[in-house]
Amino acid sequence: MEFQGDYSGGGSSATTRANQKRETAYTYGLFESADPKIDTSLQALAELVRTIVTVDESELLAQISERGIQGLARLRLSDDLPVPDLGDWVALEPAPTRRLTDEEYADYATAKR
Amino acid sequence: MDYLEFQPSKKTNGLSRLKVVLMTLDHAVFWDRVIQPRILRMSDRADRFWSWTFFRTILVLSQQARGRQGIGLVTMLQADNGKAIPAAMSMLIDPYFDFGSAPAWSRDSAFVWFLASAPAEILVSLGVSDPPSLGGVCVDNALVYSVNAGLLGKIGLHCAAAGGQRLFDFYEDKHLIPLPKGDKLPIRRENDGRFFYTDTVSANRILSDNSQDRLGRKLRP
Repeated sequence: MEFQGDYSGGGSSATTRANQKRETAYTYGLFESADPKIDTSLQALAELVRTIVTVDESELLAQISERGIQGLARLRLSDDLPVPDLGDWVALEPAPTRRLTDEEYADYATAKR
Repeated sequence: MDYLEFQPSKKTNGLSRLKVVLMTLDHAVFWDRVIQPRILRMSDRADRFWSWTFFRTILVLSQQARGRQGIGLVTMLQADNGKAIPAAMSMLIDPYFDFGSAPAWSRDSAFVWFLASAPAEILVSLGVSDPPSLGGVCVDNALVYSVNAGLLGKIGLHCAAAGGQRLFDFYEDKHLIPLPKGDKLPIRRENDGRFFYTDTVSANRILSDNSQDRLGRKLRP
């Protein structure tokens, strides 16, 4: 991966770390390398997250808008991913009208992926 | 506070129903597989190289590592066959710096990180015969999220340079407040004059304006 920099993130609680581990695990397999020399192992993706933390969000928006994830991290979406069926309109669950806790949000994200 | 439930249709005088849902990985993959390849061919779009799957996974994790939440919202429309179709996507950061709070820089705002709506012709091809305009809905969604999260409607965003003057004008038309070029920022990035924000007064005004259309019809439950 191309990013350089020191990891300076927060997120120190055990629960947050557990959620991050779980989410990194399900991220694995979504992407493939756009360059055979680039490592897309779970560990490499976790390293990518750690380095992205060091980049300002608006700067990242600018870089992604200009170069895409292929230019930025030499990743692309895996060709094997099928198009999901998003179900019927009547079954949609509206977004909550209150702030979810970190744990609730992580549970929602992994339960309904 | 409720998210918008209706928007005026473009072709007819009717109202289209919307549902705003939390973004799952399936929404992101659907967008990247079905909608994004067609946006890629549109040279004037700021989002032509984006990947919502990347945002929904890697970037959400990066925010967790910073002790914040990366919140994905999707505005869904109903296709004529009853299927749910994602029509607009947004990724917010909660909490973030309030760009209107210099020099103290309180962290009680939400940052609209990524925001995109599907072009009408793509939605029509997916079976939504008369889609509404959705750009303003995405801004409204961020404001509603901010209110519901206890952030009083305060949001901030950076208007990607790739969107040019057209995107800048869009945010100005939505009555977001531009941060003058050169004004100090609470982040390392230089202020290029393309940052916008809302305070509580402007947020309330925008939300109120958005709650009904020009014919006086209610757009929020």
